[in-house]
Amino acid sequence: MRTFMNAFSKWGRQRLFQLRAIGTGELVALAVVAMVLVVGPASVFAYGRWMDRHVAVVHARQWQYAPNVLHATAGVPFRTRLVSDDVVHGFKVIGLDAQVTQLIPGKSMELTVTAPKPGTYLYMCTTYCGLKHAMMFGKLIVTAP
Amino acid sequence: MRGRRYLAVVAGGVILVAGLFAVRLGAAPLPHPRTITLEASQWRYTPGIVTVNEGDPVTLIIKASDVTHGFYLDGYNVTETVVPGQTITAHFVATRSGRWMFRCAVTCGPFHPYMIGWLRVQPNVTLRLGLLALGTIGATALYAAWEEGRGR
Amino acid sequence: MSVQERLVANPGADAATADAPALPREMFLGFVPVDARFELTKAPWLRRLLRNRWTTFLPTALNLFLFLVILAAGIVGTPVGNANIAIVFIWIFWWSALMLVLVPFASRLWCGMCPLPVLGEWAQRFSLVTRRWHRPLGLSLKWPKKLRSMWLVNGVFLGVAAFSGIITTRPWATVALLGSIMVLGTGLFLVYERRTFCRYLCPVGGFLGLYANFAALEIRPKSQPVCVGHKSKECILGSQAGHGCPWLEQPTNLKRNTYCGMCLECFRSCSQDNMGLYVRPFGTDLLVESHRGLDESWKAFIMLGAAAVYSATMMGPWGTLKDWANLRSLGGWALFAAGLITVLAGVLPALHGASAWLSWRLAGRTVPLKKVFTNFAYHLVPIGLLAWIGFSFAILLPNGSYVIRIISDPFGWGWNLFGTAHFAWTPVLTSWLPALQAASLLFGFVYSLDVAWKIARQTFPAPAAAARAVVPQIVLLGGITAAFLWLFVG
Repeated sequence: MRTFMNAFSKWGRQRLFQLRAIGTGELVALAVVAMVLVVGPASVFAYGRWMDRHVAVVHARQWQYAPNVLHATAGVPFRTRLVSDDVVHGFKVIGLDAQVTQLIPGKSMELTVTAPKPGTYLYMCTTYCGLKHAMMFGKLIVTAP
Repeated sequence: MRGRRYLAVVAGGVILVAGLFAVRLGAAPLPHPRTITLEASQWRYTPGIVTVNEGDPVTLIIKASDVTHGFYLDGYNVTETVVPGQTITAHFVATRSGRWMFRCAVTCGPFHPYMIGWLRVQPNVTLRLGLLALGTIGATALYAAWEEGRGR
Repeated sequence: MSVQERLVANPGADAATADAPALPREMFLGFVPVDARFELTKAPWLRRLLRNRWTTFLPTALNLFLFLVILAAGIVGTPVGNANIAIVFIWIFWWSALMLVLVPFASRLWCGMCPLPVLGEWAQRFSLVTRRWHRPLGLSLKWPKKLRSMWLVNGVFLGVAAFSGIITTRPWATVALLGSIMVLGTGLFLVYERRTFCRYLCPVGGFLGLYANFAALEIRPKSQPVCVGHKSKECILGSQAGHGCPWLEQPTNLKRNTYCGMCLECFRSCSQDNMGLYVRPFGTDLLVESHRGLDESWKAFIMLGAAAVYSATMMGPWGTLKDWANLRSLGGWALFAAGLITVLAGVLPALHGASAWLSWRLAGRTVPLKKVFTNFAYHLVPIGLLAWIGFSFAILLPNGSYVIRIISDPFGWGWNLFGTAHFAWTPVLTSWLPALQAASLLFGFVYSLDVAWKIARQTFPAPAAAARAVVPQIVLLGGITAAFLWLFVG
């Protein structure tokens, strides 16, 4: 029992000595690195999620939308953030007054769509964007409230 | 020896200044309107090199064959957006001589920053001056080497 | 001038040369003395600043943060290059800053704040800002003798250059490259001693090292007699106050900037306060005869050639070349890669070899051809760096404005942190571009000629032989400059 206590206190003293070897400067530097490695990226992602919390992000790329199926509720404003991943595309919801003529790559455009009646609306690309431009469309499914 | 070296530098300078006037010698062609058709596609312009004379009024007819492109001419501030199916016409007078890059002004895919063509406005005074300066400096260096070679 | 005074005036000189009879002072461009030095560390506040570990730690931590943002942007950010901080910060901002400012005026200062090796170095030292007096973590193996040169770095650079079209335009590719360098580097810090990775493997370090010979800043011991009389060599072996030189250099014997990564460790370890930071004329290290080698010669060819090939591909009107660089087809890319490697590592060395052979013949074959070839490669550095500066102007002036919007929306997610996210693409001063490029090239030409003459005098001590030998070099430099002039403004 005694030997065990002696060994443990020796271990404890060694650890304490090492801790004392970490000066305040080192602790501050460690805090800085922790901020950079952990807090930084975490807050970036948190901010990103918060910014897009009530928004459906739609990517336009040659030659499809991602996602190409969206769900909304009739009468409720549906916020979207449109962004192109490669070339200039367009966006128009057929049957509704919702359109962006030119989606410049990298520049997000916020568009709020309010569908008065339930049903399926098509959205399509309205700016020629290459070979399969005519096949670039998606579905907006609007359900009753 | 040092005196001779300075003489060489001065002589070089005189040649340079004389050359500054010489680069514009010779009958300059009368400005004459030009119409150039450019096709913009990923990621080049066709033709890639356009040559005009200084003072020419230039009409550019630009078409995009695959996706939306743009057009920006260095040194002239001509900026256009070209949507496929549309024909854009841009006018400018080629007052600045030299070689200018024109580049795509609307992001059109990954190689957009390298979508570049060349506009040559003749005479290319910058190039002539540069080559003249180069020749003068080189000749001076060769002369200095020759002087050294002959012994002080 | 007494021996002491001459040594102070020319730090880095051997004790042996101090006894040589006084020669007329050598000048750059006819009016800047080659041995002119202005000691910045005369100011005590600067000395204190340089000895403080926070001076290196804080910029490094900031760069590490930026690098992590860039890493994230490459993985989850928009694939559109000019809307992604990875492309904009690295290939527009950092690359231009390196070529235009850091290398010519601050030598390898970037290496002192580079985020790529720090995780490894912190792990190896097991500390951030404290000097712990214990064996470093890891195996601390010595780098194999056969690989102690720039050859490996040359190969890595060529490999990366072949993919430069993809790397500079796709955020994921930029991040894949830099991320691998970081991972590999960190691993190597736990296997090899000190900054072996930075010295012998980092592709950026290769050209930074060679071009730092042109830089106007240097770290050197203040007084050689102090070093000679001081036996404990703390700057090499380390002490309680500081680590031994992580770059595996010997601060007492530091003659060139090539492998000095400006980590400032020698300022901390030297108990005699004998390390100094000096401002000096451009190009002084190109005249240092020790440690010249074929590996560095090839680096000079590779960098000069890369400036030309990149200018032709990226700034040229030749769409087919761009398609090849963009990997539109595997065959096309293979042609591009083969062409690139052939020009950089084959054609340019061959041209240089032809001129070196002519020089050797004209000078009477008194010196081995290999020495002539190696020595004369160093005057390709000024024109090489200035060609890169010209190329950087063509990137920065049209596209620098992207930096303004990228700080508000680094990932292309529609953010607007500082209100500048909608700042439109604005080319700046493009009407000055041809003149700026021509002026850069001509300055590089003049400086290269000056360095060529001095190297000729070093290689062939008889002035007549040197004068004959320098003629083919003048012709070669003239041809190279003319070719770049045509490429940039023709």
